[in-house]
Amino acid sequence: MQNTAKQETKTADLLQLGETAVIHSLSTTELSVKLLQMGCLPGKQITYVRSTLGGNPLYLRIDNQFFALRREEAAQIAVHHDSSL
Amino acid sequence: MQPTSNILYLAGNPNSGKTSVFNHLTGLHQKVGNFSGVTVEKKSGTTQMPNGVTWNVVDLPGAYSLHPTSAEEYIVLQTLLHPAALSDKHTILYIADATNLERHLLFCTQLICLGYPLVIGLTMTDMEAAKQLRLNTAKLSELLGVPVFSINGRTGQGLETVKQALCTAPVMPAPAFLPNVAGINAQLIQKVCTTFKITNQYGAALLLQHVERLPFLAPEEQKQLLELVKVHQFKSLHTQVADTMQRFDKIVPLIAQITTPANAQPHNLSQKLDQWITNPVFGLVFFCFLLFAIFQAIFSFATYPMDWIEQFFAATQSFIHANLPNGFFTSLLADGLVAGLGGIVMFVPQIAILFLLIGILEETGYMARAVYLSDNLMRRFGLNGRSLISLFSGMACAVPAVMATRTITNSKERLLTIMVTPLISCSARIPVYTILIALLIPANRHVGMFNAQGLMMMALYITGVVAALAVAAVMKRFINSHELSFLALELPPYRLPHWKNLLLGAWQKVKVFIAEAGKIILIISFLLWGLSNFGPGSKMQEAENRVKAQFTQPTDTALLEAKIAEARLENSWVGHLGKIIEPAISPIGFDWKIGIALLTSFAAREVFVGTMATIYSVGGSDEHGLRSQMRAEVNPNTGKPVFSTAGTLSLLVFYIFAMQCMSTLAVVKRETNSWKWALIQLAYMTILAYGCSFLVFRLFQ
Repeated sequence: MQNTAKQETKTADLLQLGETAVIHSLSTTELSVKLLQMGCLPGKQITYVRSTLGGNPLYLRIDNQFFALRREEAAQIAVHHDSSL
Repeated sequence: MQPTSNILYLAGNPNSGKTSVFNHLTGLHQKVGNFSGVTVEKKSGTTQMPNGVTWNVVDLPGAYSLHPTSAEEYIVLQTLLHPAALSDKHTILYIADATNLERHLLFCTQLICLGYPLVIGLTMTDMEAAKQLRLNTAKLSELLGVPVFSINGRTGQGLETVKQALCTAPVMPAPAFLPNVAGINAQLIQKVCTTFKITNQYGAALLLQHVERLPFLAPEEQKQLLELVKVHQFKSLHTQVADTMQRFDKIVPLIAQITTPANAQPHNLSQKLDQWITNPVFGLVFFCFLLFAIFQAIFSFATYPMDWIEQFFAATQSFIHANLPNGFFTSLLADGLVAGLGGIVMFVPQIAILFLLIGILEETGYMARAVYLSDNLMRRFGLNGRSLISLFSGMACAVPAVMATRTITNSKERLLTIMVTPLISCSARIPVYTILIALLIPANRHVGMFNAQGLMMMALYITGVVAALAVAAVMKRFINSHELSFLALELPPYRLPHWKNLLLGAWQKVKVFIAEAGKIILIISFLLWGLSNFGPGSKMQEAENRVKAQFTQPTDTALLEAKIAEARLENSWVGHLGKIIEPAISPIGFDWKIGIALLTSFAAREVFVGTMATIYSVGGSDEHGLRSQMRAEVNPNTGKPVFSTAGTLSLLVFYIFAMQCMSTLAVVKRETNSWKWALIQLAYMTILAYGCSFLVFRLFQ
């Protein structure tokens, strides 16, 4: 689960509106256990679809599912850009 | 409990259609929601098997995994890891959504590893998304080693086949999905197994991982486990992640084997709708519009049945008085029992309508969006987006609303929500608001295009909401919690509500109200009946005789009876109590008569109106007469009208804030597991009510 990829990674809360990336890994916290269980898995595509007026929580698409995650929840997810995209 | 062999557990993720299946199996009525985690209690029922044997069905709360992150998931873990359950090994019917198998299989494979005999019921197989997957259920069954059936949660189709299979031959436990427990030293697992005399290694791992939250462990056992955790430097979280990841590493390729990847964009309609509904600006406008519409619906739809109910009970009371001899039992029956029942049934229409509407919001999937939209605001006040559902429900009745806080995982956020929910104006306040507003504002006055009375009513509701948020903002500073606060909410595709589920759901809430609030309202009604029909010594009789002596001439009997009732009430125990508390409430503009009404309001706030009618000698339910009587009332101490602008406003403010509901206190006590929070709530609400009434009274005087 460590960050070993050569590609540049960032956390999902830093995605730009409309940006799509691939989930690289999750941190080891209680929050990540929850996120994993809900189907937020490495290798899946994640898209920042929209947000509320306050900019929090985020409306995210993860493969074909949709989630509302707070920024600090999204920060548990490391993402990178897939070169094939 | 039935013989142990005849128990079937229903398990599955939230939104899997599990509760619908439960409804079909048992016919026992229960809620199905689209909002993650509507099922909060472990519910059970019975079902008739094709061979005539009755099975017990236990509906476990929806869970994503055996590694719990919510109270509901803890219930599931505690139930299934309990030594008795592990040794009995009842069969599990696992409900999984065919359109989202990957996630749904995680929990399923954990249950298999725990050694439970398991059968999978696939729902949503009729959905377009599922059809495109071309799911090979036979292959799934072969790979997992468990029977797999397609069922329809809405129609119940396919359930008979499942039942037939269940009672034909006992289901055998499948081979463990993961051969070894992920990330844990085999020696450590072996130690736990020998110490606790269990054979299941996965069960041993779960004991280690969640030792702190397993109430069935004896203190001694817990100590032993914690010692092992310490000695082996066991990292619970790491092993939970490892367990989850290893499972997915196997599940993902497994699903690739049994499905054809679909190209179509799923839930297109949902996404188009969400462009508007969860739009940062329009979404809020829509949310406010919905709130307003619900508010309107409660008032306009509920008025008629409420009037009928009120008339029916008033007529019943008159009938009893007219046809039974005057005396103790007649009075107890008519003024204690019937009046108390009336006070309960009165609110059923409003509560039913509101929960029906909330049910629609949940079933369609809108509620999850509302939680998403409001989470940021709620957090500023120490609440959670999920608090919204309780605050909504509080408009009907605080009792089911407090119970609805169970979906809030963080105990601090949940406690805060419980503490402020009774500040939301509930249906019992409406009759009080109505009569007091009528005293304050003429019916035909308008502000712009709006009726002034309606605006005032709105203002009172908004005051309650603002107060709830403000109190939460203050109180959050005094409650410490190191627990994680999270939202992590699934936004399920929009669905059409299922009418049967909606009606059953609303009925459930009404039953909660009748069972929880009703019995207390009834008890207090009897108590108040006693306190207002009996007085110290013979004072009540003397007062009655005095009134009779004044009316020696033949006169209007209705007037005479009303005057007698007034004199008797004044000299009853409750009348004395009213006078005792008068010095305390006179600074906020109330006299002893209002004092009596405040006391009787403890049964249910709307009793205020009835008490006022008795106190002002207005027979029956003549509201017009009551209003003019109240308007004319002069405080003998000050010589000023009691229901002046200042006095009326003060009373209105008092009714917004005061905790005048025994039922709510009782349910808060139960949900927080201590009198402490119920008493703190009573104290702060009383101080708030008194303080604000005092300010308002002084300001307008």
